[in-house]
Amino acid sequence: MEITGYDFRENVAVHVMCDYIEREHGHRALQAPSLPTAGHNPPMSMMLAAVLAGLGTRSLAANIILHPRYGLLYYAALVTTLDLEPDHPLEEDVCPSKPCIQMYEKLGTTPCLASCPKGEGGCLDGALDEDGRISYSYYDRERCTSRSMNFGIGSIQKALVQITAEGDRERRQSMIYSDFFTQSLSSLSYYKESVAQCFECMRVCPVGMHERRLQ
Amino acid sequence: MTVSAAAARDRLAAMVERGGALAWGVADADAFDEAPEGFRPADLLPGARRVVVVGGSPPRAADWASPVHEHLETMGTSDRINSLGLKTAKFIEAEFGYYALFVPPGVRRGNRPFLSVALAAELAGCGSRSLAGPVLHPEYGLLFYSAVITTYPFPLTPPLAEPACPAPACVDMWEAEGETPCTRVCPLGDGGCLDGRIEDGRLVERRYDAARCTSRVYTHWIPGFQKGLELVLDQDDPEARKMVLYSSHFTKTLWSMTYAAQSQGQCWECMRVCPVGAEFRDKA
Ligand code: SF4
Ligand code: SF4
Ligand code: SF4
Ligand code: SF4
Repeated sequence: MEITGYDFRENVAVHVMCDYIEREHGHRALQAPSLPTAGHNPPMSMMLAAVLAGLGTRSLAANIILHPRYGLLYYAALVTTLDLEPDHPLEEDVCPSKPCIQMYEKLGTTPCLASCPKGEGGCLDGALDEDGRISYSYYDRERCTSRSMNFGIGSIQKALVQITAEGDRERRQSMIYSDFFTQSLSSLSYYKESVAQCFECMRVCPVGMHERRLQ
Repeated sequence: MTVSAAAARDRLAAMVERGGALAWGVADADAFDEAPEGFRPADLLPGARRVVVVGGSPPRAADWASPVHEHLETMGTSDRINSLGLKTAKFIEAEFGYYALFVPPGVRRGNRPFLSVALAAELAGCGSRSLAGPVLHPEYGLLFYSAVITTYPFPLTPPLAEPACPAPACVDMWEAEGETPCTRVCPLGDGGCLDGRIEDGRLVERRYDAARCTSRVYTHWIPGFQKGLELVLDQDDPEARKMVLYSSHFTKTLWSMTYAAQSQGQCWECMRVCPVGAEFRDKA
């Protein structure tokens, strides 16, 4: 899960759509930039775009936007001058789902919060109000990155800090050729987009569960 | 949706062939005994029953014809077969409702791939292992492969009855000269990587110096980066560090790791001379 991502395929779809709009309709269309440019922030939030376009709503699990049928999806967006009819945000929150509200009422937690609790070294915390809606949510992104993004740019940076700080030549050499560093480089090279999170919080989420359950 | 395994096989065949597969096959997930524990199909996907292998996207005839030796080493084509592998996994899940896991390229611990795609290709009857190393398809020779582990019980395709290597011409050459085209071009005893023995027209022994092949030919990719980084950090003088960091070798390494990505092929001199698939490497 941490190394097999699919998100760039949506970007390919967006390029095809941009070409279509520019060629067929003669309007401008650009792929909305989704990679971070400052800190963890991209120039435009795909999550906000997805919510405003009615594709899903923000969840207690790492703020992931959950689609009502599929749950976790990756999103890409295009910005265009074509005057398309806008969609509207969903009227009903996808998260928390009914079983999660019931669980919260009984146990004071939800499946995702229980899988990665802030108070026990995890990243998530949250609360529901009496109407069963999210009244507070907390996501420790830094901790999630260090816990779950073990293959990719973050881990290369982590390894480089250690390697460059190591004064002993032989120890440095063994760090450079270690499995961890080789895998990290391999992820930069092979997996590229696929450096996802551990998604234990999504594994237990009831939304989209039936789509994930096959034979 | 219920379809017979034979009908499912036909739909899968149509999909992968449309997607550009030159070869494909289905291996039994329980047949991976020679793979170490932790690197077998069921270790990656509990309940695994089959491994679907798709092969294709070899270097084109023009790639073989290029006089620039860096071309083959940097312009790989294997990413296309990986995208077909991903599509195949998605197709199996969406069409048949069974789990299908794309085997990621790249390595896990110990520099070992998640699953040996070469073994999967052999078991699925796409080709056989060669003296030079790659699994050779009997018609096309060198192909790249991608594998998908699935719980769907597709009908199996058996391993090849006759190995693709050694080709008849290589057997003749071995009998006359005690070597084959690939061992001649990269002989283990003379600074190269390959050696082997043929008996009764069959390959009975193969020796391959993987470390030497890596250091000789994977000059631009991850090993190149590691070598470069080691060199940089060994320099006390900041100017010398800067020189290594901006050197054309290090620059090429960074390009190859990011843009050219998985395309870091070997030098493939051993494949250039291989008779299997030779007609596909040649065009007017
Ligand atoms: S991805 Fe993993 S570490 Fe991050 S919030 Fe979810 S369960 Fe926690
Ligand atoms: S498990 Fe899913 S639906 Fe339930 S609270 Fe967490 S994110 Fe929301
Ligand atoms: S790829 Fe090149 S170095 Fe490696 S075995 Fe073949 S000819 Fe030798
Ligand atoms: S040249 Fe090709 S067919 Fe001949 S021995 Fe070498 S790998 Fe096998």
